[in-house]
Amino acid sequence: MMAVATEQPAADLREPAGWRRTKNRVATVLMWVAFVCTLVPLGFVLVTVIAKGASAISWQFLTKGPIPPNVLPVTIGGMGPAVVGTLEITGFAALIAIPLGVLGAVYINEYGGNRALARLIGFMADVMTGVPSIVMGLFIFTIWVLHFGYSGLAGSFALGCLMLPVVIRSSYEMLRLVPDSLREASYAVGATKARVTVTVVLPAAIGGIVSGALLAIARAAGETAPLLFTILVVESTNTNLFSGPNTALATQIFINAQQPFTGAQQRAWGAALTLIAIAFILMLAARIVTARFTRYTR
Amino acid sequence: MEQSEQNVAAKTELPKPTALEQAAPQDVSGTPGRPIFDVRNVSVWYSAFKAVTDVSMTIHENEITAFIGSSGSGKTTVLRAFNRMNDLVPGARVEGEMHYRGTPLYGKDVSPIAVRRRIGMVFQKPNPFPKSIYDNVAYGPRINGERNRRKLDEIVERSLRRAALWDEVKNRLKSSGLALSGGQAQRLCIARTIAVEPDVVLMDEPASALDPIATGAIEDLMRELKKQYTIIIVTHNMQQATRVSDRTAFFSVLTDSKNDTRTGVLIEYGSTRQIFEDPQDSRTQAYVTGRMG
Repeated sequence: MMAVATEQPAADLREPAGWRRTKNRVATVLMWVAFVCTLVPLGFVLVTVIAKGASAISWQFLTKGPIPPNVLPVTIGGMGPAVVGTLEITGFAALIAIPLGVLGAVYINEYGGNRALARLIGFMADVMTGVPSIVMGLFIFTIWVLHFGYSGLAGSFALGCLMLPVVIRSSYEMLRLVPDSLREASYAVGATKARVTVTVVLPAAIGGIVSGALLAIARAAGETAPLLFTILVVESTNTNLFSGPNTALATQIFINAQQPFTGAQQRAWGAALTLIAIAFILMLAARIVTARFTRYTR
Repeated sequence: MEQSEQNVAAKTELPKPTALEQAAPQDVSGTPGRPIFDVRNVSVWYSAFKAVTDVSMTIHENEITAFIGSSGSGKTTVLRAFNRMNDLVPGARVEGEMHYRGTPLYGKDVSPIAVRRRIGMVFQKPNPFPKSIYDNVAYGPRINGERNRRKLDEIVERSLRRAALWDEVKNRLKSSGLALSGGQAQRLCIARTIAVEPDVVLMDEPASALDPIATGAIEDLMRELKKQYTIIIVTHNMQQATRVSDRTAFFSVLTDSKNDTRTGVLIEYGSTRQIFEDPQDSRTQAYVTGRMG
């Protein structure tokens, strides 16, 4: 007993032993294991790409062209055409898919209600998410390339088709999270449905919508299969998105990595690192922009 | 002399004092305001469920009318019928006649947008937009076409002053409306509602999520606001009804045991003093004396 004389025994506030504590510990360990399991491969990929690709990176590599024949060392020419191609093709794909996707999500969540059309669009978007990217490439090949030839635009269509369902789904989930009380508050001062959507619902959801759109862009920028069928491959920069074959980092990685020559392989690693860096910069930029939009959410 | 005797006589006629007596109800002023809403035999349906049956009442200008009653008695449903908020609920429909200043609220060419522009609403849970305090108040005027920066500044200041919030937020108009405390947020919502200069303000349990001090602030505000607006308030708090309202409507649930349906009905409607001191219906008496609900 302690110095303070008490008639009652001291309260035991330790965590009770037994099955409950065991379960808690097992679950905690499992979560840590899962965390490490997901992080380790990611870390390996990053370290490997940086280790193997960093030596190839130079201002010349990033901006100059043409892309040299496979046998030449990495110091000659550069990946400039592929960087330009990736930016213009993915950029235009985003320009098609993001407005369409966000508007589609707005229709499903704000206007569609329980209507059959809204449910059909939602269902089709989910089905589209599951379509393999190579099938999407073949689809654009059949309906566009066979009639109008290879072009960056065809690549944008293919990538846009891949992004669209992702943008619809992620935007829809974000719009669904906007509480009805905010919509009611807007209606209660005499807003029309369109006003409610534009001035309250979309601003409240913009952070999540941008995040979803970015993930879609980053994924599309790395797609190779759909581009093989739609843009072909060229060695020099083609700034005209709308006509003539084009090239992109992803397809260049695919082609160069298959070669036995060290120069080509280094070019592939360098292109891979460039692609990752572009995605990273994009994410960072978008985070900064959305932070401005969402500064009032807390 | 004679007159004072009469007063004494009148006082002794009052029913047995109740626990609520201390909170002396305000009497309806001698000349009641003009009727602003005329409700005749209104029933509200949610799909196949009849939420409220056969409500008839007249709401008067520049008065505070309180709706009291237990949960499920249809108070909020009736309140939301006044500015057509129920239109937003799929499957909701209103039967009967509801006139606002002589115009049928559910008439063919009546726009719910125009209705809500004149009949604003404050909700149970404070729901400021995730925007700055300034933008929250300026929201209504802006969507109604006000673009002039100077005028907006004026409206924002006037509304926040009327909502008794100006002094607390005047130095941080650009900070988020979500950063306010519950009571401040609710006053911000009131400022947002009155910024569009509505004719009527509907309040759905505006103080139920607030502490007594914030509640007192909101009630003072309501007394102040009724000089310019007509207020209808739904409340679970009977003391609140006696403190602020001029008239009180008591709603109750009618249960039909045969086919197990429940529906809200208006039991009694009169001056707040009469409802609390001389209820005509036994159910009203049971409710206001705390024996039921």
